[in-house]
Amino acid sequence: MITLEKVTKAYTTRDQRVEAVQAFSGEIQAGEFIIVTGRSGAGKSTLLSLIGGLIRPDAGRVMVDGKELWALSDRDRSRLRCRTMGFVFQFASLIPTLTAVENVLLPTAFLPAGAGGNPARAQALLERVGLADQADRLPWQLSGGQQKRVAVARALLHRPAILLADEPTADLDEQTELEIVDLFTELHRAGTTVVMATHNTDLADRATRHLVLNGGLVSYAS
Amino acid sequence: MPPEAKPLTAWSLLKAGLRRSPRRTAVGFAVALVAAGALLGATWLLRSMDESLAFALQRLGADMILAPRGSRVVVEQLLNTGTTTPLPATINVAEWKQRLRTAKVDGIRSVQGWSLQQGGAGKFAPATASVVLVRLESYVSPLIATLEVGQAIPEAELVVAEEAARQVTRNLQLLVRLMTMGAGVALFASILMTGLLTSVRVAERRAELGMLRAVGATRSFLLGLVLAETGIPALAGGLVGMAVTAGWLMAGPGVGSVAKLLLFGLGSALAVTAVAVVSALPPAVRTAWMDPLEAVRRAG
Repeated sequence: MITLEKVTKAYTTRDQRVEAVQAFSGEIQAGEFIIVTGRSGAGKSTLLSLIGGLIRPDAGRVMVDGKELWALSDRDRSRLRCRTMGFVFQFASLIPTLTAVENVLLPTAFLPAGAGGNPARAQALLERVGLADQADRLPWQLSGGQQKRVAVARALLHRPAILLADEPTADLDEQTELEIVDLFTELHRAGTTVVMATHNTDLADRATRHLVLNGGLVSYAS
Repeated sequence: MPPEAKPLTAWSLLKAGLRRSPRRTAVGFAVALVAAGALLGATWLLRSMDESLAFALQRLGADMILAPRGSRVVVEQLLNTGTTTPLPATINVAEWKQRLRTAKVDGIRSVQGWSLQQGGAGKFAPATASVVLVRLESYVSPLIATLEVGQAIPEAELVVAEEAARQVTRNLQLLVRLMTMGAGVALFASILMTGLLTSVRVAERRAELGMLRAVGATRSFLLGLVLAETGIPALAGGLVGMAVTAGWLMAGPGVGSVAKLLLFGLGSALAVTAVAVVSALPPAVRTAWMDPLEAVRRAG
């Protein structure tokens, strides 16, 4: 379970302070599929990064399975992130000198031996996202959509309990977008907690909950 | 699946990082090569000059050298390098000794003939010699003794060891300065270049490094990764620079102890690597403490 208690995060630009998330409180039960929508700058990405322990809140607490993320050392927080969370960002951010399958295997550099990430699973995930025959290709040899699918496979390598997806279908064609959302739905049915930020409100009916953010505040929840 | 696919390690990420910008890796290698070479060359040549002068004076055991007119260059060469080109043995040692006794030159402790007929370091020659070595009592000033000896044996060229050493040091001062400056400039340039290269290298890979944080890399892992990506080419370049310079020095005359040379070389390579790692520290720290979200989002 993920718990957020009055979590606030602000960014200071050159001439103004932007409240990306304002006193956000809520619980995300294990196995939920939450879709977060909102306009650009509404705080969707910041909320996901706060849940994932990638950024430190200015105020409030973020707890994952009863552990307060920012009470942990960087080493323990990184280990928790590595073992229990998978991230998909708007941009694939693949390592250009590694092949597709090696990029999928990236978390194994930080996982203990036998923690679930292995080449056979990486290949199975590439098959699942329709890239079985592209495993030995370098990122520049793949299209943008294919790169994004490699990033999705990478996030799923170690069977994370929580999948955090920030605009995972941005810039993708409709068919690829549906394939990725289908995959997330399937993961949710298998028990994975999925939190996905998107501009596409049409995807809301796939989720168990729909949050709409506006100026760092929840303006609608269903 | 390609047969080489296997779980990744820190080493595989390091190799991927080095392959990511091969030109910058090559520049880091080249900078370290030049810096280590310059450092080893300068320190070794300075040390060799110092040692050879001390060695020559100590070995000859002379405060003053009397030689036939026109042979000053050969004598100075002998003093400065411990070896010299051949000089014919034309001096009747017994006769010159007698003339010094007759003139009652004060403070002479010993007079002995020295043959440089075969060149090299020379050898003791009691009868006919190329030069005559004069040892003075400690209370006698060599420069004052020079006047009396010059009157006793006017055809002799007088070389005072101390003065020759000072002259050589003066002559070499420019070279010494240039070499020290060269090594300093090479090191300074390597600091600037390495810091700049590391900054550019991490700036263009912010998204990837941010992604590493997202998949479980700790700050210390990123710090180590960036420093290793800088330190490894620097160490490799430093070792090659050491090997090239040591080879060049060993090809020349009078290199002395090869073990000491290699020890100096290893020290130079390690010093250059340490300088590279220290200059890469600021961008490495910035990378380790960056906001991963910001880094990944900037990729677009």
